[in-house]
Amino acid sequence: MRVEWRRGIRNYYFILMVAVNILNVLLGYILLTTIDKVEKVTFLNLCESVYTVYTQFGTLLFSSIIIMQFYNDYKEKNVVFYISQKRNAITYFFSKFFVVLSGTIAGTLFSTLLICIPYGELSWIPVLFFKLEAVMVYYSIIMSTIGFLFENFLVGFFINFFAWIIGIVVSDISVGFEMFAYYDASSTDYAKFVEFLDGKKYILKYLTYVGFNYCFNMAVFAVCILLIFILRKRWLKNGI
Amino acid sequence: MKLEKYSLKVKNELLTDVSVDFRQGRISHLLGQNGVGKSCLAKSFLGRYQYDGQMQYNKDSMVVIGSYSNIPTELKVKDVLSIASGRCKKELLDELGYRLKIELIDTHSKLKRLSDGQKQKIKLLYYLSCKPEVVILDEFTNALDKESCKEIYSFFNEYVKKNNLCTVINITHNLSDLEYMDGDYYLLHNKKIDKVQDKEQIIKLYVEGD
Repeated sequence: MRVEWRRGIRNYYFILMVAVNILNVLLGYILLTTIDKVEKVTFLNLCESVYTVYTQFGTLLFSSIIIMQFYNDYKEKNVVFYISQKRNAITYFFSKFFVVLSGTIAGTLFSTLLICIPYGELSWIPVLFFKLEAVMVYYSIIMSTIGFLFENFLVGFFINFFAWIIGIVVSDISVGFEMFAYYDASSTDYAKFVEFLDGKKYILKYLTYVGFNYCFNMAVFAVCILLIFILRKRWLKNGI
Repeated sequence: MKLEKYSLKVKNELLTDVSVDFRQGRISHLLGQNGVGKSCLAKSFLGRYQYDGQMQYNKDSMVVIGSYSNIPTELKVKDVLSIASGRCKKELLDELGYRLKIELIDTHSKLKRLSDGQKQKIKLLYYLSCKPEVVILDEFTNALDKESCKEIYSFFNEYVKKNNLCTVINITHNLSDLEYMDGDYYLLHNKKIDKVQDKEQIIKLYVEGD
């Protein structure tokens, strides 16, 4: 695990993650002032706009950084090194995923503070952090799985992109398929977040709802681990 | 290390019913033309390819050192030394370090900043620190200059002498390996591995082809 931490620090993963999260906040602000022509940006305006950036642009912004964490090992042929460390495909995935997730936590914390501190809205930090991080956890699971399964960076990147598009199209068919684009702006989850910002829900009640986001993420994680277990031989194929 | 009725198929049949015994305390040089399956054989030891037949060796005590067994280049030399120190006794690590002249490498350098020769030495130190019973070298002198090659040849000659229970298989194209490292000679051709009596004969067979 220590090896993964060192690698994450030295290949600038954590710095990039924080930088892209900060970029998301700036994008949220810029979109409000340019496209929406909002003259005086309020705290709630900014929260909604930044959350929209996370859900609508996140797939493009974060996929390359996360997929690259796996691609580098395949490109540089490091898998035998991990075998020598008594790792297998599953334990390798877990150690990588843990570092990816740590990067998202650091990044989300920065962006949450960047939204809340200028407005002095410190009581919003927990709920906003957990909500944004729920989206980031989802991205981490999906993108790490794709990064693990595909040896070629571009293939991984575009599969992730098309999976996102197809998810939106499928979820549009019926409410029952919303899980395929759970955090998209067209989903019930997004609508509930906007309702919360509009003051129709209390923080505590909404935090309980955010808990369901994490339950959903755990279910997605279980499916992905099952997929990785079934396709575990790809690890050797990709990296040796 | 023994292979018995070993067959390997990767798209095409590469090896069929091979039975061979690589001796301990010797370097077994394995030569063959491109595409005959030398590297696929090494990769099958790692589980990359499925094979039929039996391989008799301690799977937990085998290392493959080749272009596909790199150490992450973000790590620094001192990181690798620290990881290696957790795999063996200090005396062994010191001895490996001394014989590979690791003290001449800046321990604060990231691996990506090292020369190919230095990277290869760090790789050898790391993989050999677990005191393996079987060492498979796959084209390990590729991309190295003459000086670095000679240092590594000398290191391996000493290593095999000191570790006479260790089996070293050297998969190579480089005839200098045979010149500088004494050992047994095997030729992989016609889907078989044949033992060849001496160096001159294997060079003749290899150069002339089938």
